[in-house]
Amino acid sequence: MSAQPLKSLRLTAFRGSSSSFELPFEKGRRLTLVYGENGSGKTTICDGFEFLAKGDVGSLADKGMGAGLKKYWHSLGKLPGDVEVTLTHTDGSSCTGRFAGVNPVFDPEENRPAIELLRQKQITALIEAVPSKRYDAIQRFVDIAEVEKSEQALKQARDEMSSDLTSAQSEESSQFENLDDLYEVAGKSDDIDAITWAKAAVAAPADDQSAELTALGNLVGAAGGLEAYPALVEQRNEALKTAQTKFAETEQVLADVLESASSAAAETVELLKVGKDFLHAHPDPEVCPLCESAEKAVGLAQLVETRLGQLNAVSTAQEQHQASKRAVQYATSAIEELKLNYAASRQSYASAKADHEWGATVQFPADDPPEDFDDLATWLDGAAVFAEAWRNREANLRQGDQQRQAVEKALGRFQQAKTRKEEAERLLPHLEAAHKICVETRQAFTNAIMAEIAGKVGELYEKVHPDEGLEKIALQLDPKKRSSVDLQANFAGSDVPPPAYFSQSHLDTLGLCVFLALALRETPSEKILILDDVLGSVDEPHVERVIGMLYEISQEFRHTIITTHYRPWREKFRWGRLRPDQQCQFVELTNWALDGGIRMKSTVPEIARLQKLLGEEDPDLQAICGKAGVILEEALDFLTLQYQCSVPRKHVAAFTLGELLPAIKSALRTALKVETVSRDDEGEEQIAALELKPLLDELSQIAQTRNLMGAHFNSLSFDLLDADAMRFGQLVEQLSSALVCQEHGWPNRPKTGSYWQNGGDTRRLHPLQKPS
Amino acid sequence: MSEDLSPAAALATKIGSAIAKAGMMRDERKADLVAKIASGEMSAADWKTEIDLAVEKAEQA
Ligand SMILES: Nc1ncnc2c1ncn2[C@@H]1O[C@H](COP(=O)(O)OP(=O)(O)OP(=O)(O)O)[C@@H](O)[C@H]1O
Ligand SMILES: [Mg+2]
Repeated sequence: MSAQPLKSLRLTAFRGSSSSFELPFEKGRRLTLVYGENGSGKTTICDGFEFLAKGDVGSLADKGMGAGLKKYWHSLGKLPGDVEVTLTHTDGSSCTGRFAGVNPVFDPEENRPAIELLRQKQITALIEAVPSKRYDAIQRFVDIAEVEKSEQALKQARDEMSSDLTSAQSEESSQFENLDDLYEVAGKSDDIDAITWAKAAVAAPADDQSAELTALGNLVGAAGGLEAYPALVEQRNEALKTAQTKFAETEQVLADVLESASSAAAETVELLKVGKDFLHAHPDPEVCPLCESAEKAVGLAQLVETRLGQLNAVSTAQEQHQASKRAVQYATSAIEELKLNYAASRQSYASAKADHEWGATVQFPADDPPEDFDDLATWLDGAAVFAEAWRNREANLRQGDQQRQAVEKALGRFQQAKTRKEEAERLLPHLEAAHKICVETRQAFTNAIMAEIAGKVGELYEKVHPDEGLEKIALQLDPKKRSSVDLQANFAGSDVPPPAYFSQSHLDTLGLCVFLALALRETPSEKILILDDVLGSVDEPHVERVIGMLYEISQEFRHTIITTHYRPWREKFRWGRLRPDQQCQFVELTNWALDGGIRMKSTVPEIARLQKLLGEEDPDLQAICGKAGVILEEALDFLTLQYQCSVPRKHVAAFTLGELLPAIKSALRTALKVETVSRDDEGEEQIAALELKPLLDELSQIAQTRNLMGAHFNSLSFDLLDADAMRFGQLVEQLSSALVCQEHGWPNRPKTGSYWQNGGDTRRLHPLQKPS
Repeated sequence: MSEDLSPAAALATKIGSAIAKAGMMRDERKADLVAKIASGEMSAADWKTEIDLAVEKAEQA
């Protein structure tokens, strides 16, 4: 971004600049006043700056044309590609904006200017806006959203700590109650409180008891194992007895069957079974395998089958006898096995008893379980009372262990909660204090910025409306709604929202001051301030103060461009009423046309130009006459108005010499005198007086002899003879220099009551009244 | 207001100084933390830790 002084702005095919227009900036002048009637190109110039600075043309916005306004950026009849806007700086560097396709590009990007642009239609926008819109404009100066995020995190830390404290407190008290209940169950004493008790309870060694608990578990298990035997022994003895009975029965049945069959029946059955198996393997033998007779071989298998059937009863009895014999063997071995198991159980009991050093509380039967388990039942009867005692003690120990665990858990929780509570109690006040500091610092910070802005607004406003600005304007961030700004002004002693009570011109001025105060906050020396025709509603007495105020602040910006269609500005400059020591460049735009675009008029004050023409070595008489004519008209216009001389009534003020000169009649003419007042080194007033009659008489004489009375002032150059031209110019120069002070203007104030004087009292015009 | 400091940075500096002065931020951590405050990166945990440590340091001194 360049901060170089400006040299020129060239606009080609851009908006109203349909051909190419260059606005040159005068060296050393940081303020440029652009005067032009409606439609002369003022806004186009401002648009050119905005185009370069922002890649946008705001003058087209909000005019009901919707989006896609880029198509109106080039001049009618030209193409986007024709557009070229170039800002050149005094060091020769520049920045040019063009269209590359539909998008603007800037070359070089880093030379794009920074601007603050206020347009007529926006002037009161900030004042009349809703508070949140106003905030948007001010936000960049108070944009602390990120800090507010951090502040929010601190608030969160504070709130978390506070709820941590609450939860730790409630956990602490609920665990205390818990312990107190356990204490109650364990037998509370008045001497010590629940916590001391719990600590002692948890601290006592638990190893002894847990070893006994394990040993008791084993003992009770082993005793329980023994208890199962009597029933098992009885059951298995019973089974053996049943098997033996069955065996005896089947033996008897077999004997009976054998007796009724042949003596060799049993062996025969065995033999037939073997034969059957053989015939199954070798069906249809040719001879009997036993006797080798071929005659009995046929149907042998059938014969064997029939014989076996006859001997079946023997076979069945044999099988049942075998089965019952096996059952007896099985029952016998089951009893043997039980005996072995019993021996193991006795061993378990002996181990359970021997593996622990039992205290007095655990008693045992005098004898160990008998070797023969048939005697066990008796032993168990005697041991039952001991086993019962073991079980009870085991249960008691187990319960005590659980309680201890409960106390330990509750105490742990209680202590944790207490630590958390103490930590929170320690930190919470600091977090609260830090958050308070954050909030207060932020509020003070934004309030200070607001007060600074408001103070600046008031200071500027005061320059235009004395006694109405200082300390009477207030801007306030709404503390609840943060991104919302209230604007108040003191009106007749009350604080009011300005739009409710201010006149339009007061509102406009206030809007301008708010805009300027904001623009001034941010590196104004790097920015171009542009005010596009914003002073429409300011009237004559105030316009000079507004101009004064703008002059002053324009010194703080890189450059200031003020456009106006307001004629008094032009007159004030042209007639030396804008003080030249304030280094202002005046530009007048004129005669816009679609084919030619924007045009510019000469900008040097008229009297200075006439003086310059007269001083040239080879004077341009034509030019002298032309300029002198226009100035003379202005001077005579001033005098005839001041003394209310009668002149013909006209719609358009285009008088002839014959109409204005004779209007200053003899009595007035004789009395007219201008005193030019200056001060010497000691500050003493020096007065040079000049009678106007000789000047006016000679001017009349030239006009009459040359028969110019009917000529219009602006066409005198065609009618005057060269011989008279120089003299005419000199007379007009003398008259106008006497009447107008370049610095303080025309003597039009009747302040002293005896003559007219100008603002700086450098000119005094006599008489005050037209002589009758 | 200094022209090269953003409003957020200027405010964060003020907040940092005020909190450090009240003994709730350690001087040696101030520069880092002010930058964090300005950029909105300060978390609840960051605040807790710093205030805890700063207070502890102040209590020991
Ligand atoms: N894109 C365009 N193509 C051609 N002419 C245009 C274009 N835009 C604007 N104009 C014309 O350019 C001329 C200058 O317009 P501009 O808005 O700059 O004038 P102005 O001096 O600001 O007038 P006012 O005092 O009314 O605001 C006007 O006659 C306008 O109609
Ligand atoms: Mg305009």
